[in-house]
Amino acid sequence: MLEFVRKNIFAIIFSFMVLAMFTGYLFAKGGEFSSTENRYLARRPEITLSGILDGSFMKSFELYTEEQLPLRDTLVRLKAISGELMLKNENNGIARGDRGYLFEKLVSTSGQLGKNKAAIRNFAGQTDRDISLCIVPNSYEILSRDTPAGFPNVSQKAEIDDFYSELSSYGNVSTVSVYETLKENSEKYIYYRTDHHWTTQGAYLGYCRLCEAMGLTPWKEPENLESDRLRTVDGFYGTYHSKYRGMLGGFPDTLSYYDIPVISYETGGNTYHDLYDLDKLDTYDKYAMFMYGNEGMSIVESERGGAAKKRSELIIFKDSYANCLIPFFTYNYDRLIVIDLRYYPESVNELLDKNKDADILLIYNFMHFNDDNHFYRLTS
Amino acid sequence: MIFSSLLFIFWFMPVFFILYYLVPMRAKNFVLLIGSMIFYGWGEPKYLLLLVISILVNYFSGLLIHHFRGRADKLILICALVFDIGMLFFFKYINFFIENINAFSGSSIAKVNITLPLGISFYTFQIMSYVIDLYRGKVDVESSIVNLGTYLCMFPQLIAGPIVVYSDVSAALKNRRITAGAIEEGIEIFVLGLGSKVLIANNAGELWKELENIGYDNISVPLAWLGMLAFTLQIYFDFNGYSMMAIGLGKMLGFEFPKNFNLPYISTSITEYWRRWHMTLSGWFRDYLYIPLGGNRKGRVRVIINLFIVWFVTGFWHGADWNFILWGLYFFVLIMVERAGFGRFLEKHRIFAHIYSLIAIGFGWLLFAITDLKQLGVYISRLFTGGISGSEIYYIRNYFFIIIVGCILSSGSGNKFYEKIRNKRAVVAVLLSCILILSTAFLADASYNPFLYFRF
Repeated sequence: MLEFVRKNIFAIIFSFMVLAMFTGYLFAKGGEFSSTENRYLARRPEITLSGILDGSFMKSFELYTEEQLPLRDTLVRLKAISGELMLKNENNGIARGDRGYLFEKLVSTSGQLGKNKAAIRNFAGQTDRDISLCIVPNSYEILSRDTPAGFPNVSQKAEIDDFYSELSSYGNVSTVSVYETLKENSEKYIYYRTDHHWTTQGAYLGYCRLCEAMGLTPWKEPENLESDRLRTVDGFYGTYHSKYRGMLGGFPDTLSYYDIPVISYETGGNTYHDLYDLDKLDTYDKYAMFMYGNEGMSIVESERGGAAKKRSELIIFKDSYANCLIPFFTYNYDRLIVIDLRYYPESVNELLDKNKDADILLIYNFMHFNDDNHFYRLTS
Repeated sequence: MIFSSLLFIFWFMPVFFILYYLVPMRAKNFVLLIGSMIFYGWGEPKYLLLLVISILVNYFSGLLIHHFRGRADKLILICALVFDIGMLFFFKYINFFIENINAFSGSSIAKVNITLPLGISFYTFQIMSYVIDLYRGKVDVESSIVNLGTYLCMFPQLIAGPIVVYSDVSAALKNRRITAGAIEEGIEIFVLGLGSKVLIANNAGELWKELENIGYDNISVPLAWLGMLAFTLQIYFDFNGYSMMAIGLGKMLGFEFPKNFNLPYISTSITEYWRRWHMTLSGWFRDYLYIPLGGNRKGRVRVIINLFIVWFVTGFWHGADWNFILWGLYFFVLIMVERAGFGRFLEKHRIFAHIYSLIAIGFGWLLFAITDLKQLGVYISRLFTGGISGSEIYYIRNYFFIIIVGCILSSGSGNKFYEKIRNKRAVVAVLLSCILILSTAFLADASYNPFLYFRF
C-alpha cells in the first residue's frame, strides 16, 4: 500500500487537487461583485439547446470557469508575486516604478487616435463658437523620473503638441497645455500611485492653467494647503493596483477633495446638493465619489455672492479625469453642463443650440483620447 | 477546447476520466469517442460534422479496399485520398488560391467565407495513414466504426499532434491495459507539458507580442535579436508542451504516442534539426510522400526534385501563405547546401555548427512568424540597422529570467535533472505540484494564452 502511494504519489496529489477545484466550482454560488475588478462575475450558464447550437453556451461557460475559479483572487496574486520573483517589474500592462508608483504601458498609439483627432477637427470646423481644448498627459509622461529604466512608452507630449499644432489653423480653438505646469510640480503628489487619474492637487494645477487660458480668475483657496475645506481619505487602491497585484509596488493612495457647496447637482436622474458621493469612500472604487461617477449629462447650479467676474454657463465635454477638477469651476460659472460622450447618445448640436452663450471646454486625458471610440458623437 | 485551459483541467478532465475509468474495457472506446467529440465540438460545433463525414468516408473506403482487394482497391484508395486532400484543400487553401489568382490575373473571384476547421491538417494526415497503410497491406481493415472514429478523433492528438499513424495504435484500440504506473507517468508528463506551455511559452511569447505592438519599424537591434530568441523559445515550448500534454493524456488513456520533439535546439545542422523537430510530421512526409516519390533511389536529380517537393509541401502544410512556402524552401536550400559538403565542415567545427544552426533556426522562425512579406523585410533589416533605443534595458530586465530558463531547458539540462530526481518521489511531488499550482495561477490571470497552431 505504502509502496503504491510512493510510486503514484503525484497521480494522487493531482487527482486530489483537480477534484477539489471541481468540487469548489460545483459549490460556488457565483454572480457576486468583485470589488477589485469593479464588476459582477459570471454565473454558471443554463444549458439550452439553442445555446449549444450557436456556441453561446460554451462561450459563457468558459467565461464562468475563468471568473468563478476557486481561490481565484489568491491565484491571481500568486501570479503577480511570482512575476516579481522573476525580477519582472511589469504585470498585466502595469509597470512598477519608484516611490511606490505604478504606471500604465503604452508602447504605441492606437488606430482610434487618428479618428478621434478628425472628430475634434470636424467639431471645430462646423461651429464658429470658441472652444477650449485640453489633453491632459498621464502619470508616466510627467513623472518620468519615477518610471522604470528604459520604459518604452510613447511620448504623450510629442503626440499632444502634434495635435495642437494641427489645430492652430482653427481660429476658434484655443489649445491649453498643462504639461509645463504639471512637470514643474512633478515632485508633488499630483498623480495617484495606484490609479490612472490625477489627484485633486494635480487637477487644481490644471484648473489654474485653464483659467489663465480662458481668461478666468481661479479660486485661490487650495493654494493654502491647510484649507479647512480640504478633506482626505487614506487607503485608496485604484485601477493600476487591481491589474498589477504584486507585493513590491503600489503604495496606498490618499484621496482628497474640497468641500465645495452648490445649489443643486442633477445627475443620473437624481438631484443632490453636493458634488460628492461619500458612500463611495467605503468601497474599493473610491475615485467614483467625485461627481457621483460618470453620467451622460449632469448639471451643476451654483451661486456665490460676491465672486469676482463670474460667467453664466460652461459646457464641459470630459472623461473621468475631469471629475475631480469640475468642482473648482463652480467658482467661475453659475451653471456647468457636463457631458460624457460615452453615455450621451443625444445630439450635441441641439445641446449647443439650446445653450447659445455657453463657453465650451473639451478636457480629456491622453489614454482616453487615444482609445475611446465615442468622439464621433461630437458632430451628432 | 485546449489543454491549457481551466475548463479542460478542472471540468473536462475530472468528468471524463472518472467516466472513462469506471466503464468496462469494451465501452471505453465509446466513452473516448463521445468525450473527444465534446472536446472538439466545444469551440466550433459545426465542424464536428466535417469530422464525422471524414470518419464515415474513410471507414467505408477501408471496407471497400478490403473487399475489392486486388481488383479495384487502387481506385478506391485514390478516391479516398482525393476526398481527404480535397477537404483539406477546400477548407484551408481555397482562399489563398483565390487571392493569388485574383492578384495575378486581375480577376475578382469572390472569397469563400470559411474559417479553418480546428486540427484539419492533423486529422487529415492521420486518417490518410489508415487508408494508405491498409492498401499497402501494412494494417488490417478496421471493421468497427467506433474504433476507427476513436482513432481519428481521440482528443489528445486531435488538434495539434503528435501525428499518430494508425499502425501506432491499432493494437491498443482493440485492447489495452491501463496501469497505475502509466497513469502516474502520464500525469507527470501532462503537468510538465502544461508548465512548458503556460509558464515558459506564454511568458516568452509576451515579448514577441510586444514587438508587434511597438511596430517593427521602431525596434532596435538588440530588441530585434531578443524578439527572435523569444519567439524561438515560445514556439518550441508551446508546441513541445502541447505534444507532451498529448502524450501524457495518451498514457492516461492506455495509449503510447510517438515522441514528437527530441531537443531540437541542440542540433549541429539543419538536417539534424529536422530529425529532432516535430518528428511525427517529418516521419509522415518521409513515409507517405518522400519514399513513394522514389526517395533517394532514383538518382541525384530525382533526389533533389523529391526533396524540393517535400519541403515545399512541408512549408505549405504549416499555413496557407507565401511566407510558409518560403519557410519550407529556406530549409530545402540549407539542407541542399549541407548535403553538398557544408555538412562535413560542420561535423569538424562543433561550436560553429551550434551557432550556425541556432541562427539559421531563429531566422527561419522569423519567416514563419511574420506572414506579411513587407513586414518581414522590415524586421530583418532591423536586425542589423535598428540602432539602440534605450528601451532594451526594460525588456531585458523583464524577460531575461524566462529566456535564461528557456535556454537551459531547451539544452536538455532539464530532462537530465528530471531523470535524476525521478526516483526521489517527494521531490517529484513537490516540484510538479508547484508547476501545477503556478500554471493554474497564470491561467487564472491569463491575459495572454494564445494557441499557435490554429493555422495548421
